[in-house]
Amino acid sequence: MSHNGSTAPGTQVDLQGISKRYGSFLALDDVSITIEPGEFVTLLGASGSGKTTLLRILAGFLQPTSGLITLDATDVTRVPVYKRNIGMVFQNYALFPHMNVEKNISFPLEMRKVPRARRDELITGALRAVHMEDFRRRLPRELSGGQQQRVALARAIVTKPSILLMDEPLGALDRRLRESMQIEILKLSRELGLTVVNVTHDQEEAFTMSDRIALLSHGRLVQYSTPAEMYEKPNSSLVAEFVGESNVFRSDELVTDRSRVEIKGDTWHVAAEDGLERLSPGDRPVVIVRPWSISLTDAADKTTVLAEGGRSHLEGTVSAVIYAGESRKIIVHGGGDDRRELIVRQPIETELNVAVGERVLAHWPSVKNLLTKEHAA
Amino acid sequence: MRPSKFTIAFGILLAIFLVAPTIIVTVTSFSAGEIIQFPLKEASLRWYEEILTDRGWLQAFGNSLLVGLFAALLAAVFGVSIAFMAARGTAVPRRLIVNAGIGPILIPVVVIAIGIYMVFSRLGLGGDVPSLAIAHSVIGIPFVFINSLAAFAALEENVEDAALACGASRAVTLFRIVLPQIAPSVLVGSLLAFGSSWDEVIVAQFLNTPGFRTIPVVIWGQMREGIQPSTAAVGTLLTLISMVVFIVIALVNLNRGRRRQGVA
Amino acid sequence: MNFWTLAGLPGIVFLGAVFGIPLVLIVIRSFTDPGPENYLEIFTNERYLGSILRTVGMSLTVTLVCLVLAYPYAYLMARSSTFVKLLLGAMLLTSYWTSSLVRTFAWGAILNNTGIINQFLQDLGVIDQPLPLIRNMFAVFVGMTHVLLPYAVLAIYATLRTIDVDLERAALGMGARPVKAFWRITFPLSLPGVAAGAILVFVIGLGFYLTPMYLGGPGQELVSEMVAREVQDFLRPGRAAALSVVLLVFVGLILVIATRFVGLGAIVGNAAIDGRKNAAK
Repeated sequence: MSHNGSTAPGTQVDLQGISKRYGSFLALDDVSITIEPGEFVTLLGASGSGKTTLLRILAGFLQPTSGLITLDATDVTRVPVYKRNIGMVFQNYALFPHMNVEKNISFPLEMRKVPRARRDELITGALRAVHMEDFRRRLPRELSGGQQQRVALARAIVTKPSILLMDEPLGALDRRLRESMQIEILKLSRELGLTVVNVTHDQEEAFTMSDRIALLSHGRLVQYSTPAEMYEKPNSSLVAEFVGESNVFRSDELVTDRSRVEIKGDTWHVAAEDGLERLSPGDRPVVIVRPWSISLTDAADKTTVLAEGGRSHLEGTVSAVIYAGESRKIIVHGGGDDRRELIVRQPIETELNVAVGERVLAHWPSVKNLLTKEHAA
Repeated sequence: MRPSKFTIAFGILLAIFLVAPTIIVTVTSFSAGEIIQFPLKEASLRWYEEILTDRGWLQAFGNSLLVGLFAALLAAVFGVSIAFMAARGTAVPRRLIVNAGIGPILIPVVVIAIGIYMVFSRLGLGGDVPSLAIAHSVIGIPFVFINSLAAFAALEENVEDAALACGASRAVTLFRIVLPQIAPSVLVGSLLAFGSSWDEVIVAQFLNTPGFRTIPVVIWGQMREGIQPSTAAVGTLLTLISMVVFIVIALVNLNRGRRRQGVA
Repeated sequence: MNFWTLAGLPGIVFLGAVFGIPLVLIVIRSFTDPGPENYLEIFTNERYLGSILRTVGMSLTVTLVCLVLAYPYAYLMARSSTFVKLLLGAMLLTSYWTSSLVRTFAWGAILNNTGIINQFLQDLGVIDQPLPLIRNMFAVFVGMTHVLLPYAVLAIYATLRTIDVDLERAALGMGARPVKAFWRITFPLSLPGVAAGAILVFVIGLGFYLTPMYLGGPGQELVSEMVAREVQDFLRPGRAAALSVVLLVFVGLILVIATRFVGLGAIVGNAAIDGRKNAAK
């Protein structure tokens, strides 16, 4: 995969205090994001979080109510979309249905006044980059969804734009195709050194592709960090719950001192030390544990297991064992007044050592616990 | 439920009732005699020969054709324009624009005719191709409007966004991306507009002068003086052209690969 | 004002000038030429009142008859074998695309005293004197029904063909007899099409001009004809304007009421424009 002249450096994107108001509805509330040249950033969030609005503002389809957009330190806030040098890929491909593949890709070149003599070379290069050289004369409706999205990608990159914007580009594709396209898009954007802003509600996609993720909720930026940091150091319970299957522990019964947080319920007890520095006075602590970190043993072994110390645990009954692809999901019901449930995941290759209805002890090292604060709505 | 034999028989009788007038006019146009006869006793082309060599008829034919084409063109331009506003405009409620765009075909033609007549006579307009074409375009606009609005509704707005992102201005997007996509519908609407002008009598009658007549106006004049086989021959030609228009519409629709969108 | 509103301005301005201004002028003139007494005259003079009632009555009758005739025809077009479907469709469209002027002319030739029917019956010796088939309301009724029938068929057909045949099959599978399946399933589902057809035919019928003028008898004018004659024969454009306003208000009221139940697009044969524009996603 080679694309001539692919060293175009990406652009630095700076969004400062972007707000968008529709009447009394605040779609975006003071969002600030800085994207370094060549970075792949994903705007992640549920529908209605404002991620698409933010992308459309960055593209120039919408004007922010307040805030500033700069590309490489140039203010483009009031520049209309067609004068910003962007490439964009849409969820439903948005190819021009009356033009064949070649004409589709030629269109941005014509608009940007690229001399006729150079167009063909650029078109060929872009088609080669997405492996669609053999489809030049096809009309969009004669292509499969995946092929259409490749053409759309070629159209977006053919002018070597300063940024590539993608609005749920893989949402319409089936899972397998989506995964292979993710890798391809990533490789291509790295090769071209593009600054990419991608919008998705699929956290798996966000984690696979992004250098950094901006998690949005109800128009606000909740956390902007690398995937690893988001997973390991969520700055609130909302982030933790959004970016992966979680068991979340909240309780009125909590013990806090300078070194650790301990909370417990009728049938469980968890403690956490890491991350205390992220809490400020007045925050409600929340403890999160990922289902993969949990081990199960016979309830009778409780004293033995907990003897060594430093472990959190829940005692309960196995209420379900669900086979989900490569893993097995086990639900442990703690009973008690708080009706606590725990999700445990095990690789399918391991032997199942519990049965539905059995009393078990779910336990895990307390160092696996993530300590964060309750998300303020 | 499969229709019964009885229903089929009824349908065929009704179909005969529907086409009888067309067939009778066509057949009698080949009459050799001076009066209308059906069935025909002797066939000839004398009436066609008469009209096709008559300067008056040929002139009227030319007038009708020019008025129809010009009216269709005006209807196309302005009908599409109104459809833009109805589909994507934000300044005026869509409902109002739709009412305005459809209005002219639901309002009695005679009202449009006297209204335009009153305005045009003040301005000294009438009695020529442009003024009748302008008047007829009003009747034609709804056909273009309805068809292009329907086509508009089926467009994906993302495609236009994509064009803007490619660096095309709004105007370029309109001409290079939007119009080509809805072109078949605009064409169908324009053909319908042509058809509506082609056999329109009432407005044309108000705006005619002895020196400027369209075919329908001449036929209408003849009809009121008494039926002649030459009227049948002209009527047959008039119908023939309408049929050609219809066949073109059918072909465009077929080509569009979609189900036909209302003929009204 | 966004771009599309701007793009729509030429059309709106043109329509306003050539359609809007004339309508406004008609309204003004109806009150000023010579004055509001135009309306008094219309609502007290037997000639105008009679014509209005005749127009409404005729249009209603034609609408009802059209619906009764059109429904089975549309049903056949929607549910028959391809051959019957094509045959009926071709004949319907032939009629539809024959100019209404030519069709009216043809009905004259058919119904005249020396016309096809009378000649035929006289040749057979069934009658001595020609039957009075023309210059009366009967002729007007036949002519109008003939011209308007295709509109009704197309409106009903547009709805019928969207009704899944499987619905009827399902009803039959549940033990309904065919007739019952039709009346309980298909017919209720087709009512929007029937309503759209009824409104369209009724409204167009109110404005009919050529057919009543050519086939009708003296003293039996419908409103459109009266409007034209006030201008052309009696040189009373104010009266014509007032009569037009009455006609317009009536048509307008009907459409206002009708569009509470059926979309304007469905009435004129294109339901696609009724909904809000399709969201792309």
